[in-house]
Amino acid sequence: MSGVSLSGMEGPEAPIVRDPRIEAQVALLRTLRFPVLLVVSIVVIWQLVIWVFAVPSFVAPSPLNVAKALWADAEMIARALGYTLRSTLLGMAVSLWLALSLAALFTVSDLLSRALLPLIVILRTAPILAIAPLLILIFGRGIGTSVAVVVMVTFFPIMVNAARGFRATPGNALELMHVAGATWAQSFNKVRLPFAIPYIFTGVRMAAAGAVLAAMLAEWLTGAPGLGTLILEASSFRNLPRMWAGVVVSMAAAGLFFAATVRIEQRLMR
Amino acid sequence: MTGIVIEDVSKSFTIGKGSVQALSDITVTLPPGSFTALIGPSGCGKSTLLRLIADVLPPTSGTIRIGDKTPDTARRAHEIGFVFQDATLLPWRNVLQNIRLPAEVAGIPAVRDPRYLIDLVGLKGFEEARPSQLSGGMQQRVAIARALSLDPKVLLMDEPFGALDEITRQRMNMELLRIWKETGTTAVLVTHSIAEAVFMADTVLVLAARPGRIAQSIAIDLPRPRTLAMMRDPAFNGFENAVRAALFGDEVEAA
Repeated sequence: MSGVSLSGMEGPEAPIVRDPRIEAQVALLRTLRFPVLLVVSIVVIWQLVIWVFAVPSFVAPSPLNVAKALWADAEMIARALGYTLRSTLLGMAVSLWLALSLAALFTVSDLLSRALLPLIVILRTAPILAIAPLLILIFGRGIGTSVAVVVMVTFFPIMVNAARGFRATPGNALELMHVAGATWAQSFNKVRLPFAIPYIFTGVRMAAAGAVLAAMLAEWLTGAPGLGTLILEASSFRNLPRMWAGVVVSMAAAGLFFAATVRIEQRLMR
Repeated sequence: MTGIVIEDVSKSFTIGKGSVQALSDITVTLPPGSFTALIGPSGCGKSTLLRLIADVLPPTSGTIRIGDKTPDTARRAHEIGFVFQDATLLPWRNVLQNIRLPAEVAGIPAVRDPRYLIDLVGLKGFEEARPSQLSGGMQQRVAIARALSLDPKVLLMDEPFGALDEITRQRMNMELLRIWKETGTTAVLVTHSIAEAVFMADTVLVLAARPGRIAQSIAIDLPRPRTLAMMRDPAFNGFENAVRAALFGDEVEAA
């Protein structure tokens, strides 16, 4: 009996093989179909309205003028975009590191979590506009303040979700590690952290949506040479096509940034 | 080979402001290389007893010895293998990587070749498969292979086949007996099934609830290797009835 390997008898329970990569791409195309159609329609209608009603360009620029400005100022906009994206990415990286470290600390000590969490919530609810002078004093008028503002805006959702994820580890998995003689760090790295990844990415996605905006907000306060400053200056010089070009690029950047986090999550979850 | 000696072990849990006695004065010796089944009603503390042996929980009083070691030292010396009711595989690791986990944690090379273990549990060809691609029975075999990877002196199993259908379960039991014989470990199996307990064990410990205690210890005097044909044997039925009587007491007569 035991000589007959049972694996051959598992016929009806044969493994199901799927290619999640192709599935993900099909799903992506399917979700993008309607938004793209909508945006194209809006742009076309907008252009038509401006032509038909002869709207002067200082009221609302036409998509064509915006496209021209985008082309003419491409280098300037690209440089500004580079600056803003750099602060966004740097801020997100610092934020992720800080949020995960704190959430990990909270799993170790309930007392610490009860002591620190209210402070963090207060920091979170402080209007950035009000504490801007303080931030500029500490981090200067350059990328430092941008990174700090991005961290302040993105840190909270990542930390809250990560903390929830670290607490949601299956009990048996932790017992398994315990019986294997694992240290706290081993259990954390091999079990807690991987099991928490869907939670962490929920937080990252929520944070990513506002991260680019946060970086631009910082530029409005400090005047650092990013997209935010470009938009503000174009607006004060009444250069509406350039302003809108900046707005469109920033929105596209935020959208792509969000999409990138979704892709990274899909990669990790495979 | 290593035996397990349990002396005057009690365990109580604090629930809210009260305290619940889960186990009371358990004293039993499991000889080296033996196969013991723990059976009893829900809440009789059989899983708790298993977790006390594995040093997942500390006893409130009493002592447990695994060979000449405390459970804590035995655990740190990688002498304990544990199989849960659900396979508890890490879903992002494939079969081979899951089986290598204990060795990785211990920071030593696997004592038993993982590929040999995969062969032993009948999963050759599935080394690279993810847990989600395996059936429940196959996942549980991976869990057993993983528990054996550091060649533990004792193998503790908490209803390992409870979630499987009757046919798969019977096959897995045959496989488990073969593996147990080949590895020579001291095995403890928590189960809900009277037939399974009698079929597998040298000794069936029948536990009673509130507080959890050993109601009776029944030696199963059937020859090994055990075969499916034995289950029709009157002697087998006799042992089943003995366990049933110990579990239900007077209820058997009354019905």
